[in-house]
Amino acid sequence: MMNTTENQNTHDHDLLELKSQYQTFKSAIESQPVINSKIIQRVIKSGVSSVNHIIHSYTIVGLIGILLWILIGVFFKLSILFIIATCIMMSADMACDHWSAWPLKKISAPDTTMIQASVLARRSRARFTIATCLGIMVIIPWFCWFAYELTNSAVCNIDMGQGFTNLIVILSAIGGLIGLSIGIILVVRMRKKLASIDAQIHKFINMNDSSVS
Amino acid sequence: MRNQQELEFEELVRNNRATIYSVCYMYSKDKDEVADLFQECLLNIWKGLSGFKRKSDIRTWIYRISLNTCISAGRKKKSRGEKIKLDISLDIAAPDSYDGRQIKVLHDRISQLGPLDRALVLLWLENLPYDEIGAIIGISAKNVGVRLYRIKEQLKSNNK
Repeated sequence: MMNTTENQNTHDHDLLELKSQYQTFKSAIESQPVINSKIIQRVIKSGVSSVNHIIHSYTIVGLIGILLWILIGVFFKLSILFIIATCIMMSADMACDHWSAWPLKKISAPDTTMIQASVLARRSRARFTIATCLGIMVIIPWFCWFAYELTNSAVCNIDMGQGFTNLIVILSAIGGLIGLSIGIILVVRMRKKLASIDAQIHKFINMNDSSVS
Repeated sequence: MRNQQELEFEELVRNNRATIYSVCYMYSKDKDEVADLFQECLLNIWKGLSGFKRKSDIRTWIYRISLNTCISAGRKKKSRGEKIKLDISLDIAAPDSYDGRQIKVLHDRISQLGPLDRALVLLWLENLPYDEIGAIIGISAKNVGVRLYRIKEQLKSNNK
């Protein structure tokens, strides 16, 4: 009986010792400096990597789109010129996205200063704006050309009839509008993301300035 | 000019750095890993701060984020990408000093436990009430009591 009580006391002492060790540990770490500029850089980096991720996903979708487009063009017997022009246009769109996102790759480099990062983020945002404006300007004449090609397609007019051609044109128009909406949403999100990266960099620069002063 | 969120973040980290750090320390094997985890926790707190609805206590929220970060980092350790090393001193006490030895004993004893048990012990060492521990871990207060009893027994037997 006495042994059991003694053991219990020893065990409770162990737990109390554990608590005291923890207190020693906590008081030892209270004086550690923790705020570091690299934390904010890391946040910026994670934002950049997500933009790059969107671009890579978009490229894969674009490549599948080109293949599908060739199949559609062959099925409807559209003109070779139109099929090739569309494939070039889709490739150019992907190239534009990569060109726009290219400055972001340099932000991740360890030797890039925060001011350089800010310039790069702004450059990327400007490039996305140019690419979007060009895209919108090109898509309208392209769609008119597409409608012309479909209405003159032998498959639609002879094999399927005028009603079918109209249906295809309407469905294409709806599809085009949905595609355009997705594209606009994507661009708006991308611009917001880039704006937030830029804002974070500026906040960081201001934060450092104020801490220096 | 700093915005409200940054000031809030800084204050939050300043007030809770020992809490965050202790969670990271108990889930790591070496200094570099502590630095990585600490960085990851701060990052998640920074990211989550704008979405924090203040429905729960800020301390509970910080514990939850830190524990989730450390436990999930342990699971996906192999797939982790490049890390930026923080310029913080991680030698919190000289290894040969009394405090250093005490901290090492503490770390050794806690690292014998599984991830969830480690979390429970940490929160118990912080003297949190069982219902708060339950809210952080996601189990009932009764379950906390039962589990803690078993863990304490395990700690005692490990120390024999």
